[in-house]
Amino acid sequence: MTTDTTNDQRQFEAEFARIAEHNDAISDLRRDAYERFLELGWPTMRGEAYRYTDCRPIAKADLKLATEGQDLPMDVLRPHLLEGVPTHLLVFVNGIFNETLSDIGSVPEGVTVCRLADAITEQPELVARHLGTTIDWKQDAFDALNTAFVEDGLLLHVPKGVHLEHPVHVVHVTVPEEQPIVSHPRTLIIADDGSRATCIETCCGHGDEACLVNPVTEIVAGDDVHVDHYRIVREGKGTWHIGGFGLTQGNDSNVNSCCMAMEGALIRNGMTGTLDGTDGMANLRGLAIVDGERHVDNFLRVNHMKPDCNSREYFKHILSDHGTTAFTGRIYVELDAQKTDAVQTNMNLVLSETAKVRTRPQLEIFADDVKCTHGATIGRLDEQAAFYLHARGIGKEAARSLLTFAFANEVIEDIEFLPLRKKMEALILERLPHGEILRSMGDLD
Amino acid sequence: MLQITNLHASVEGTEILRGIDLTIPSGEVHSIMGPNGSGKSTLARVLAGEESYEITEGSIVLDGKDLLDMEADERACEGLFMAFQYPVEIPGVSTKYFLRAAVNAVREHRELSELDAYEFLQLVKEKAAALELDTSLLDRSVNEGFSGGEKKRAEIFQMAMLDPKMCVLDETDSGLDIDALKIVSEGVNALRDGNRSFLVITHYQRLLEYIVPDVVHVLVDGRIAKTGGKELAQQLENEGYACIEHEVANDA
Repeated sequence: MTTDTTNDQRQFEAEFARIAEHNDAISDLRRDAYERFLELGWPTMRGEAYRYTDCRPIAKADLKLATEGQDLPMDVLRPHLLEGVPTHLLVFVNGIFNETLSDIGSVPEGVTVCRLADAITEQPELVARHLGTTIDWKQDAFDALNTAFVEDGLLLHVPKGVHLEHPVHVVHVTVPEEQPIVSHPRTLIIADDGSRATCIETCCGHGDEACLVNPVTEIVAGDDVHVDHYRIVREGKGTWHIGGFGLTQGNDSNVNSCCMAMEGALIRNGMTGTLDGTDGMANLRGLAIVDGERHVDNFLRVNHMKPDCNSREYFKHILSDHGTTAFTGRIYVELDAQKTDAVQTNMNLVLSETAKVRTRPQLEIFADDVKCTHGATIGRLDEQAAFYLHARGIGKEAARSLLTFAFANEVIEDIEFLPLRKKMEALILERLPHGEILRSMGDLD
Repeated sequence: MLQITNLHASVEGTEILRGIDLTIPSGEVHSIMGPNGSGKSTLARVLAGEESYEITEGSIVLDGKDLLDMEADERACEGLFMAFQYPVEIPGVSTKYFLRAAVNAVREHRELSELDAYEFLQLVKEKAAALELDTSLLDRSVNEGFSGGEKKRAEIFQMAMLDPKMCVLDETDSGLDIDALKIVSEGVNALRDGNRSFLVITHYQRLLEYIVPDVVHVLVDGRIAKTGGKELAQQLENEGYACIEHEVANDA
């Protein structure tokens, strides 16, 4: 990454000075990250990592941190919640915790579900030990920026052997203000040996004004752990969403993470997964529906550090209008990581003449007994399949929508937690014309 | 029920159907037999409304309505059903969802009320039982990973669900073992109700032992070369298509 001297990334100086007043367990980390951000500067398209994502409008925006929370009617929040399902709910508006809308409820003995701000003061050692360990904030300016400004978010800690029954749902709502606002929500999930947990993040927004949402989520998974993580991005029309995600896994661990890039002017989903124990499985998935002038960039790196691990990357993009997408998937296999089994898939369904797809598989393999496959496709709807549907009485538009849904559904059809799968199905269907032909189908399960 | 008059169809400039005349009265089962490349499957796909074929002459009328003016989905809604020789696999959408969308599209066209989940599942149960179809198959994606027999049985099951007037079976026997053939044929026979008509397209006489036709037509080189009773199928089985091709050559 090179520094673009036309942008003054010192715009956050005064705000960082305020953040730096927190004298706590992660002060040094924040300071280092801030300095690193200044060194890196805003990413440019000359570098590898942001080659296909133009950050200049972000760099030019006069961004400020929200300092006070806003009231939010429950009606605005409700469409983003899982109805009728018990969850541990934390709601943040513009990065600031909203006590009224949140409902953490009770958690089993030993489990922590709390604001990260509280965890930093109450469990400083735990937070300091893990925060920033799964992501490469020294290389990524947005991860560095988030780390510099860590104040609040979620801490989920599941101790050894505990299965957390209900999902933790953290909702980040962005409500535009006069000046473009920026938030840096942080989620830290620590799953000790033998534990199980599910965490859903929803990033949603309202209004067309420019905003930057810069969330970073980290999962530190021990041995024999099962964690399911979902991020649903439904930002406002003017919002830039630059998300980071880091994961480290121990032996025999199984971690799933799925990113649904549904709405927002620009969505970048940077994911780094590190298999640091044997016999682990990292399953990273993503779906993007990209219309209008929108842009989605999935940028992944999976590090196989130990033998006998599996990784799966399965990313699908649906493009229409002038939508653009980019996919970069790097699989790195360390010399010791024999018997690695890595599969990477990026499939693009292009529904217009004017959409643009860029896809880059990158393999870096130092072990000699591994199986690494990658496949990228760019295609249109299958005409034979469309004819089959017409021949069963289904009209043109509806058949198109059904086939588009079928393409998208393969990303989410294995989600075992039915209320969430139904929610995701509905999110896809509401984006498709004649979605009503399928919308009523949910009640067949 | 179905009236085909002087039907000519070509694909990419090559004429495949060269003047077909065929009338199937309501309640009858007609069979079309013919050698490879005679145009059997083209006829089925033209009837169903596939757009890659160009109709250069002739007409197709179903129950008084001109099918050639209709898109494939409209034809299906009007009561035409084609069981595909190679049913298409559609990963990502369960058979149940797909079928409900189809049943309700057809019902809407026929001005019938939409089936709710309960009514739909009742209908599924009833029709699947008749075909000895394992309903767990319906939770799987459309035709994906189905065996040859399962695919064909699923086609007939769809036929039963959509309640058509005119059924076209395109080489439904291909890829079926004898047990599957029996089950599929019983399924078809159960739908013979004196009103519904069938056009059974096949290469082999064997299927017609189970689905006994009223009339057999032999298609050669894009035209109906011979029409007869069910005994014609037996004759073809014994003598091969060569004798008909020979007769056609002599007539010319």
